Amino acid sequence: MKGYRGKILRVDLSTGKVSFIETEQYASWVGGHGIGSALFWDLVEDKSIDGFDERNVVTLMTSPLTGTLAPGGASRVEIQCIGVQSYPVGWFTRSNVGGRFGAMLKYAGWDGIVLEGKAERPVWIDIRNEKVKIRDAGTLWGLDTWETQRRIWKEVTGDDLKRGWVYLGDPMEGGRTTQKPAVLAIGQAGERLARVAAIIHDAGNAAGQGGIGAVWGAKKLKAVSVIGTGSVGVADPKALLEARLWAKRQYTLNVNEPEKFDGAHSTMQEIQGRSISTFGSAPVPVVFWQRRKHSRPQACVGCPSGCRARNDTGLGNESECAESLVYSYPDLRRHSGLKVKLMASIIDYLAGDFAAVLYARDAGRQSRAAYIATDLCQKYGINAFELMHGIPYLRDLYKMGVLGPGKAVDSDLPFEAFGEVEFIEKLMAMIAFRQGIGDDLAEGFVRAAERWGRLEEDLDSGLLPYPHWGLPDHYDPRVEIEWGYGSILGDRDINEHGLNVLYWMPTSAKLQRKDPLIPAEEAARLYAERMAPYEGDPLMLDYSHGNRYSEHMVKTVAWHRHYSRFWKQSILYCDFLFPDFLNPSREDRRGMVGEAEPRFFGAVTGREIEFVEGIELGRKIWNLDNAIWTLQGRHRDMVHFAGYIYKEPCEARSYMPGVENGEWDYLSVGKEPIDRGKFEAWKTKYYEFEGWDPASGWPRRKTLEGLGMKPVADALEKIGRLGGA
Amino acid sequence: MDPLQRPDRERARKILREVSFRERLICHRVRERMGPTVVALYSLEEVLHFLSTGIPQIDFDRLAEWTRETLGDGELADRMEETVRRAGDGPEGTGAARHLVALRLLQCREAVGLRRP
Repeated sequence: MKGYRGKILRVDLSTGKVSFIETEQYASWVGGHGIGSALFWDLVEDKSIDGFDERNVVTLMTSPLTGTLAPGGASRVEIQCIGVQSYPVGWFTRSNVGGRFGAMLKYAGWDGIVLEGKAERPVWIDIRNEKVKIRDAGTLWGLDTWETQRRIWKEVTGDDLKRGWVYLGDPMEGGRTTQKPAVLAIGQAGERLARVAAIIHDAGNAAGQGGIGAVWGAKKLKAVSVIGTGSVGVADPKALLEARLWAKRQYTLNVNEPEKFDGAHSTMQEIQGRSISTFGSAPVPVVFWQRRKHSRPQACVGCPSGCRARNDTGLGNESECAESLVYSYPDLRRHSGLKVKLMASIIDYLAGDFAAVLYARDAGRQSRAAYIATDLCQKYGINAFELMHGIPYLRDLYKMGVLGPGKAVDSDLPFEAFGEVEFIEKLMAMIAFRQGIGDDLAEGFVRAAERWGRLEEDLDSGLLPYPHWGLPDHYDPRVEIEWGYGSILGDRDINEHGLNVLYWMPTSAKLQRKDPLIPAEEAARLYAERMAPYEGDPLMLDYSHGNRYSEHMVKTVAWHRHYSRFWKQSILYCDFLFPDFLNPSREDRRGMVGEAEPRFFGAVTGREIEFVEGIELGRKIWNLDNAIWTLQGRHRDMVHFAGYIYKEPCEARSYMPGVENGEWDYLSVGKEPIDRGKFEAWKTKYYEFEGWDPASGWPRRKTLEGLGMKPVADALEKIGRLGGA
Repeated sequence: MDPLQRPDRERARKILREVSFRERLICHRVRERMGPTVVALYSLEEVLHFLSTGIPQIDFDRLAEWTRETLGDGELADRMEETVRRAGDGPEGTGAARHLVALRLLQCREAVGLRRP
């Protein structure tokens, strides 16, 4: 089995037993999420347990591509277990993390890790190639994630790194490396079982969703460290290198032809096509705070893109996307314009116009507070997404007179310093150490609102924008319908940008009075022709309000779920690079989706797999996950959005392709709330399409057996949760 | 741009004040790689910052009404309406409105003695 190391490490924290599972046993699930779900199924007898129960099993799985040169497929680790963040049920869930950990695990000789049981005292796991020890973490418990990693690096490497090499065996046999260990660690939030706790690796790689940091905390597991000196066998290295060069030459920015990236591809924030394709654009960090002038891109193992940055200030390193948004706007509000005060005396004599222009320019300046806030998230190990919407919610409650000293939600949070470091330092510490209302917030903002008696009111009004399973909004379901449907049918915010360019591209263009890169009909066609096995139906990309509840949208959601479960979460192609439907660097705009995924996979494993076979495997994995949720107690009646999604339109101007009066165009979407009755009818269609019982949403025997999962059907039948015919 | 009448100290204080929850102005911000986000604005200074970052989405009719009714600045409201009528509610109109707001803020800060550090 090329691409694999052959063993999955199994650590029982209760007994201290270290063993392994042959990867071969799970080869039919291929890798990542597929193997993780299958392992969970086999190892957790009672799937209805709580996430904090010591019988909960955490899997960390790589893919055959991890640690190779497959671009955007070489770094990620899929992490799964019963989560503790979603509401009202902590569903079996997933998160994943990039950086170096996955590759280093493979180099150490392991395809994954299974964590079982619960240690009596805090421990960390020390993996040095095949040698694995469960070690006392008494001196690490209480430290933040960064300091924990530093201590472990020092512990494992001693002074070797200073000399350039770390020796793990006979250097003549390749037993040395220049790399420091890759460490996953929890911070103080995870130790205190905060449901918003993340697992952090290096400076800014976070497995944030699901509260898995708290699951580790419950297991008394502080960190997992791995260092390896081996390598990953590749079936056809020449083919892999040729595939990489093919992708580079055909689908990425040619730095010698910058003129190809004209203004049509750039938008207000995202230059050189970055808003459309991460693969086909310049390596610009994906950050929402103001980019430092002096910084350089930073990438995960094997990635040609580099979507994070390391900055001259040493702040905000390796953090990106939502992490950079935690405190960005409060900081801007607070600090913009300060410089003008200093300049004002100089320009006193100038006309108001000039001063006003300067003031307006300076209104966009940012202080260090935003970067410090994000670094605190990473150090304490707190999920940035929760805070992104949670912090404005706290301010709204403060302004309402509900939150403050002596108020219904009694807190001394210093709102007079909102936007300053002082405020965010206090808030973060309160959550991480469960101080004051931080004890409520550590439960997540939805559970905090419930404790405060505000949940129903604030979810109904949308003051608390947490549309599905008590989790924060990302792409509003009223706007990008397949994102919302996918999230509510699953276990979490999908955070899969597979079709999302169809939102960014026209919306950012139209709001700036530019022409979208390609017309709506052409975009729909470009996508539809590669969405096998449902290819050739452009109405799958019709986001008009009339098509929201159609059979076409059923196929869209099914395709997206199945594609993601296999190619993105099992083979572990990075969400920012795959699927590459629309590529601005090519004249025909055709990205490499459908061709690239199996090509890299085949070169590494020697196994030829058609793109559509992967989609079918994704369907199998999605069905297994749904069976686990069913055993956890899910029923279709629980599958609904928060109240505000059904009550109000989304007023933001957003555009997506659709058909109106028989013509394709980029239509204004989100202007109607989701119709509860029509959504229920759509669910019926979706369940039928998946072969699930529309009355309950439970899988049917025929469907499961058709996918080779008879034991799963038997288990469901045993407790009376098998879908009816 | 014709200068706005300079406000006196009392009027400036009212224009600069932070409004209550019920008086807040709701807008949306859109950026690539994130969905539309609801933003609650509590002061004219926050309006300026909002107009200066991301792709701001603001209903200019609502902004003018808020400026007139909540902040009591009919002159600024009239000027914004006129500006947006002329420049549209796209980037040009947003930029022009931003400069008007900036100018008013400078005047108000000077009137209440905040202009010099």
